[in-house]
Amino acid sequence: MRNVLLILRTRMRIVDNHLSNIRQHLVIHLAAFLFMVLLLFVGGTAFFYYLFSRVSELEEFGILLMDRLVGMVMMTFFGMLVFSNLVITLSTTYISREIEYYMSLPVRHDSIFSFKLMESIFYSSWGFAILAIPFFLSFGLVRGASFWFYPGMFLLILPFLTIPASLGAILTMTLCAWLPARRTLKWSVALVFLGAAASIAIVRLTGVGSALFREDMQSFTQVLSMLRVASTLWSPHAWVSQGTLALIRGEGKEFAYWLAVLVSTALMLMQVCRWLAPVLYYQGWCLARDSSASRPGGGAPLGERIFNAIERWLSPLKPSTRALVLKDMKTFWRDPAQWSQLIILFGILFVYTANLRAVYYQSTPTTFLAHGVWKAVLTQFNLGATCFILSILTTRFVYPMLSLEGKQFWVIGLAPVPRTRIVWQKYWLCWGTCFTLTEALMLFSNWILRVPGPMCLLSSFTVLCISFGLTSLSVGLGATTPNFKEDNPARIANGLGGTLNVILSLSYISLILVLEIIPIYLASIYTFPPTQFYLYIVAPVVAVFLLIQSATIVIPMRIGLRRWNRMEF
Amino acid sequence: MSENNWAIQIEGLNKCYGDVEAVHDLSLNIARGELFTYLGPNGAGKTTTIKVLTGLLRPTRGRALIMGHDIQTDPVEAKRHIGYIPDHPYLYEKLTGRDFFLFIADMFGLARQTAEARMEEYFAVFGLTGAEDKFIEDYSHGMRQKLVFSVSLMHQPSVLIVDEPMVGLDPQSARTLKNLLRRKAREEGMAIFLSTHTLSVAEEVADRIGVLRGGELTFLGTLDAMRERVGELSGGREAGNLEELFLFLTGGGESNLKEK
Repeated sequence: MRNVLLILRTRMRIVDNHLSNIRQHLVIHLAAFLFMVLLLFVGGTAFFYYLFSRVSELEEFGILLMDRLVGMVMMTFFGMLVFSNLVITLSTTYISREIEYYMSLPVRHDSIFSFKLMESIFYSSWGFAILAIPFFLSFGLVRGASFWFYPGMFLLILPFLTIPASLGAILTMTLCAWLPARRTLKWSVALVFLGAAASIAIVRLTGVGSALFREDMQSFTQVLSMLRVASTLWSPHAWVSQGTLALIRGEGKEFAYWLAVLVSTALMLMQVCRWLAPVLYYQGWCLARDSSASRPGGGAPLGERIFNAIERWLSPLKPSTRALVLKDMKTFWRDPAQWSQLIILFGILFVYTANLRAVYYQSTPTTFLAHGVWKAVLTQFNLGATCFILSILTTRFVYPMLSLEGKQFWVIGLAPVPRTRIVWQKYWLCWGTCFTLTEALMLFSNWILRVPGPMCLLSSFTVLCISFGLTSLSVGLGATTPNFKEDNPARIANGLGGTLNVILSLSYISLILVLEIIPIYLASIYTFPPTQFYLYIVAPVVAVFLLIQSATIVIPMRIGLRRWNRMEF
Repeated sequence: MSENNWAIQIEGLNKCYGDVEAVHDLSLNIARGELFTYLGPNGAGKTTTIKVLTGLLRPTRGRALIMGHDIQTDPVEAKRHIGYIPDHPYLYEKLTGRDFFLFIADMFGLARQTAEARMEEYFAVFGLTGAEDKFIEDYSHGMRQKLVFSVSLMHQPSVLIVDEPMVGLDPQSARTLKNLLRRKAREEGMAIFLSTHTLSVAEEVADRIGVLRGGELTFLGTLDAMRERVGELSGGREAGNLEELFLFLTGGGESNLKEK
């Protein structure tokens, strides 16, 4: 324990030094952070409050349905937490280079593991916390919970987060003791993917989605009975749901009982980790080092054959541009920590799309969710969500790309190619990838939502424009404010430049979407003669759109290219 | 010597980091086929000079020319002639040795067949044969260093700039490297700018030596000229080897100069 505290203290010192380094930008950092938190909390709370309010309006079933939904949501969270803990523990505890240094110190192996486990819990759970706070806040508000509901929820959530983290750690240690860590990581990511697909299949096959939006009594009984799956009392998600409901009802003893069940399970699993760590951790860590990452003999594996094919397709490009593109693709593909995040992101989006479909399809004027512009709002909401995902992609993956070249700049910086070519190569590679992924997602969601042709065309065109804008922002800002000291892309994205990129990206998306909504909204409320409509509403909107669009593309790239050309390494 | 014979020309070079002057008014020419070693204590400004020569840093004043091309105003042409080995070569960990070699070959516009032939040649010279398809993250420090040497020589540069070449190399590889550098300079006319702390290497291979102290070039000449200079400065005493001469010139600790 003393060693764990020592390592933690050193970490705190590093954080303190980092804060001292950015002191001059601290206000901007703080403002950006508060802005993001406010946006997520206010937006999330409004969304969940609206959802719970609508559900609670259902006579007889509303409250029951809401309670069962809490169970279902907690079950989803629980599954996601176990998998994300598994993937993150693998990366931070087995593959991270930092461990090599700790291993050389007179520190017990299980102390290193305990420290890294704490780190994994933090990294894998903060996203849950961001989602859980507005969720439970809205739930408490709609159900008229007392003040004690909120601190009580905090007490429930702590052991609830520890359980999947410990489970993930036990699973990781067991797998890595016999399988090389890199291979385990790839398998885990495949498992996450399969898990997401299985969840969708269950929802679709059992028909929860469609039944949820039918009004007849039989459908609701069906939904409630199906959601009972989430209330089975053998799993921690059900205990936390029961504790939540006990808090709502003000049943102190019942709450204490479920809290005790959660805490005792969390402690028991942590104890199992403590028993296993001295036996399995070092064995797995050594295995991860022993297993060479070199390719097996006997012909090129599938990945290599794909790269060879891509190289042939890229042959019309200049050799240096082709080499840079291939290098970026290979380094990305061969790092599971990178693409696993991309897959998880798209997996979540896929689940979201599949569920949105149920809401959209079944909302006819007779259902409780239907009102005038519901479908148009949903289409626009879907477009917003897709663009939001695109902004996450560009901030997390595109913004750090030029920073990541910093330490290796002696390699490409010494090549006889203009520096700007490196920036443009990244621009087009990132634009092509982001646009293809998000446009495919947009078309797919529009197709399953059966969005009418003109709206579909508009949303596809918007994704095209926004993908140019967001890529310019990320590449331009990446060239203007690179961080050459850091080689972890996630940390680069979390820095000042990355935060600025998020704020500018979200502001840009909001502006474009608001501009699009103006004519749609006005046309749905008033009746205009076509000439007046195009002249006085569409034309100014298009002019402002063009202005924003060109400014977003040109300004960051101009500044970025100029700065990149004059940069010292 | 006519101007056309200079492979590297440094004219009145200054480099400041804020108020700190790392290199002060440095002027230096290095001929084709010359093996020049650049010595100096830590923080003397050696790496700064090298980074200015390679275009990774911009000079505050003055200029540097590589084969007649200004590295700032004509960087692409200048870089065609440079091979560079940094002191801490960060590499793309997720590429294999082969990937990395061919990547650099493409960046220099080398034909694939030529690149593969050169890879075979240099991997054999540096004992990397068999490690081509290993990821660089699995290479030892010495193997990385050898890989960097291989890729830096691959496009047959006219100027080779080397910052601390011997770090991580085993004695056999160090010997191979010294022989190779000598051969490249003598037979192929490559100008080699070698910055090092390993004084025995400098003593063994250098045609000329430059000593930098506090950003200023305090000595420039051959080893014999250095001995004479030290003799003059020390009142007729003499040094046994380059280490003693170096310590005397840089004032870095005790030097055991002997009375004649």
